[in-house]
Amino acid sequence: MSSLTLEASSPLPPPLSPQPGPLWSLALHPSNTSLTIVGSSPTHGYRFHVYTFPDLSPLPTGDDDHDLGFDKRTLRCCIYDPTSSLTSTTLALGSFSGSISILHSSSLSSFSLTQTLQGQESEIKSLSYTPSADILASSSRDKTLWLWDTQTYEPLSILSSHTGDVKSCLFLTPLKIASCGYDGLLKIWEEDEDGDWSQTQNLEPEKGEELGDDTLWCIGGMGSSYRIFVGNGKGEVIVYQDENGRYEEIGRIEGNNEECYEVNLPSVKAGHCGILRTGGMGFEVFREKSSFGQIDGEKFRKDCEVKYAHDGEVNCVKWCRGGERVVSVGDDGRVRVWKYDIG
Amino acid sequence: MSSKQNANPTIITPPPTSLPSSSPPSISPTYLSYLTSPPPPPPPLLPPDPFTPSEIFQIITTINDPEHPLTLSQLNVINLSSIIECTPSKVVIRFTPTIPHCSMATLIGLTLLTKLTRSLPSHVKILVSVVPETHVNWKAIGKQLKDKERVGAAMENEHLRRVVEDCIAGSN
Repeated sequence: MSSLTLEASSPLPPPLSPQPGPLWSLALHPSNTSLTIVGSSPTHGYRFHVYTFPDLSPLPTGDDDHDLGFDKRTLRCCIYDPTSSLTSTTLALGSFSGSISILHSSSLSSFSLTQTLQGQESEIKSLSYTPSADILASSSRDKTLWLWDTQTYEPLSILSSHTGDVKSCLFLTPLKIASCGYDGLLKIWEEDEDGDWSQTQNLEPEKGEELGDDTLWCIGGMGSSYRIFVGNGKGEVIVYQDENGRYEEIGRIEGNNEECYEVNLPSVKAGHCGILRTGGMGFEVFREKSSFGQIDGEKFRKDCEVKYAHDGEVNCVKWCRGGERVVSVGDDGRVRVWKYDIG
Repeated sequence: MSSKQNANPTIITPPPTSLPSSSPPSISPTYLSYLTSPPPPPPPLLPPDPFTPSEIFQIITTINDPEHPLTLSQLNVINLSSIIECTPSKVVIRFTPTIPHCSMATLIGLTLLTKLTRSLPSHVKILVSVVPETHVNWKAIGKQLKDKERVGAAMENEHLRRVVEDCIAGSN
């Protein structure tokens, strides 16, 4: 039996406030030595903190707030440029204002503003880099997905066929990206030989009956394009597999009637493929059954869970690089680190 | 002589006048222990006593309507039977717009959500929706109100927030 044990918990930011504001998202530095968390604050509008990993000592974020390009709006999402190192870190932050701040540091903290990307009309919901970081994708409430050239910070392409908020996007390969959202659709977009991006697949998974069940909140990937894991409004994780160039649903992890705000898989360097999903105030790890391949029956089993990880909903959970720890953030405004022991 | 007649007056902390749920939470030993290291295991989260429907109703009954100088319960937008579910971890409310084309319906929902979120502990999940078929857009409004990301963004809109605050202001 596997287990998850609390290892570190962030202190509340001063002044000691019973409601520091929710944390929406977290990102782990590729060096596995620090992490960034973002969210909302009743006093400042946004929250942005950098901590050491895994012991959660606070690090300075940088210049004063104005210099980092934020206005008083929620920071919804954050992502490290995957080529970042201990001596050169690039961090992208997406704001409810519709703008994206690109920050840089010659260490892990004390960032300065490199660029502010503006163009999308409303809230930025998610960000994704290609593995070599030559393209940054941003999805928005305005129903679009923008692809930015990270050399020039000009938009390469604007992908717009969603009919609602694009809640999540994820590069599957340098030439292929998935997006999903409020319209209940999962779309695959690909770059052709002329460098033009277009939609190549439009998937509409079967919906639940309750309002909001159909919203597709998040996409998890395996570091390859073989499978995609999509979380919906009733907590289901829908698993798609590449079958001769087309994605087909091959199974679902049963829903728990809580929005699945994040589904995350560890990098290939981890010794396991635990599927991590949020659910209410906790999160769960699922493993594929070894008898996978049979069409009938449950394909995934629950490995372990933390039922009450936060005093409020969990909004984001991620594996660390080696897959031996989990980091979570939630509506209680805290970040927590959990040790995962495989049973 | 300028010294006060009573330099050390006895200070009486007034008893809470509102429902326990809406009084500011005290800092419990568990809460303080978050600041120390190593961290404790997560605290037990569910309170022993669930809220009663009438306690929930008390919180929202005096919210003002965005258009009329009346409260939501005076307009019968909400009544006691609007509280559909009431458990230690979840509160479900359904309201009835005054007319099926009411343009304020989403705003009324936001106001109910905001007041309840501020009054109940953070671990209570609050769902607000429209009574089915009582509004032309009841499904769309219900879906929007269930999406906490959209609700959060709406409350960052200064105009919307001001209207919501005005509706709530008289109800505290």
